Amino acid sequence: MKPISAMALLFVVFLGALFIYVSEDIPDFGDPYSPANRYVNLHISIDVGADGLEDSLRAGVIPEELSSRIKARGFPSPSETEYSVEEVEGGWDVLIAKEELLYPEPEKYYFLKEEEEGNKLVVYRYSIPVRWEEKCEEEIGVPNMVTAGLADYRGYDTLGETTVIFTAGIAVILLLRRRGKL
Amino acid sequence: MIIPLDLILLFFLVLIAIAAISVRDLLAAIILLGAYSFVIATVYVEMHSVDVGFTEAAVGAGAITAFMIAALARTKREASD
Amino acid sequence: MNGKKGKIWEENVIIETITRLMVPFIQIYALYVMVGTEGAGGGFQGGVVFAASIVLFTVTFGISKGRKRLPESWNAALNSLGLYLYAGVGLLCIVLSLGAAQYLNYAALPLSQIMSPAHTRALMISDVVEVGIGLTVMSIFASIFFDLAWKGEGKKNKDKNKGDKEVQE
Repeated sequence: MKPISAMALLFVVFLGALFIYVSEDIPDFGDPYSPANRYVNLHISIDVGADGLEDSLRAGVIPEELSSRIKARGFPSPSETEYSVEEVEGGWDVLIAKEELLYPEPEKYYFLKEEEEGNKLVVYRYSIPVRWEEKCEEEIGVPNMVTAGLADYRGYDTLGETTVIFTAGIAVILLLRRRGKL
Repeated sequence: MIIPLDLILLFFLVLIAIAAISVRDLLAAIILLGAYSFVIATVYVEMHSVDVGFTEAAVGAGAITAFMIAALARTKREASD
Repeated sequence: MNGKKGKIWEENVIIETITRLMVPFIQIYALYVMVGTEGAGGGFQGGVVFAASIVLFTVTFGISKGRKRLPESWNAALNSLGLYLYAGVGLLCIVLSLGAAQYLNYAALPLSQIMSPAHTRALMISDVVEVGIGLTVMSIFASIFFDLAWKGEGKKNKDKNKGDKEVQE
């Protein structure tokens, strides 16, 4: 093996390791517990202990009043379709997740959180587009939301896309130039 | 987002596509594909997605047509299937 | 198109003057699209429009002049410079924040002490990243066009001393 190709191999291995290290700590986009994009406030608040809300939730039954309020907001109401109340860690009190065959889409989660003042239960819903719309302006000062999304929220994809274009150019150079020197 | 306008444009697209396939002269086919890119770019813009329309217009009509014509300079003009 | 030896196409004054008039404006428009984030489009579209202006120039003035405008050395440099800018800024976030920030997380750059983190992100995105993408895309599309249109490389090897007198259909 010529020293040059050994060096090249070492360099490629180093780049691979860097790539793996770099992509380790990026929160995977769909993970509902990742802090960056977990919830969107639905501004529905139900006073706790109204009619035994606490224990009915703990028993896994979704009260009618809660789901009717959610339905009134235009979201699919948890009680009609098969939703189940589950234990949840990560700072939430209740998670209502849709029962799906494989694994429920994160967009169908409802989180309930105990509010301090007036002990209310506030309903949050997990949704990337709504969060993108609300938080994009304050997080990234770019007026054009599409560019903000392309460059920062999905900056890793655009990096990959640019690399693909770069590789395509190099491939064309290698294929179409047979003048001896590269 | 005017539905009838979309339908007319999309139908026009189908015509362009069929013409691009059936025409024998390759240069005419390339020009038809350039027209195809422009019409599909208008459809995108008309559906309120300006970025995609802009990209399609720039890449589809601007670059790809030029590449195909440059590639055509290397081969023969007539399609001999 | 039977031109003199080596020059297949004839110069056409009208086309040349119009192109000489249009190319700068296309390039200004491409830069406007590439750097400004107000309007639609970002680095990629700006780069393609810039490459289209180079293609227009090459088609009218012939490959040798086009190649003089964007020589091979510049082409190779710009190819990787754009991608280097993009990935470099991403890596800079990790380096400057001593490993605290994630890759490509521009808020972690020390700039965000001067401006608000949102402004740092906006600045990084609309200037460094978009220009990086634009550079790469522009030089790649231009180099693909030059390679495709480089018709005479076969026989050029034999007569090395003829310089790069291209024969272009």
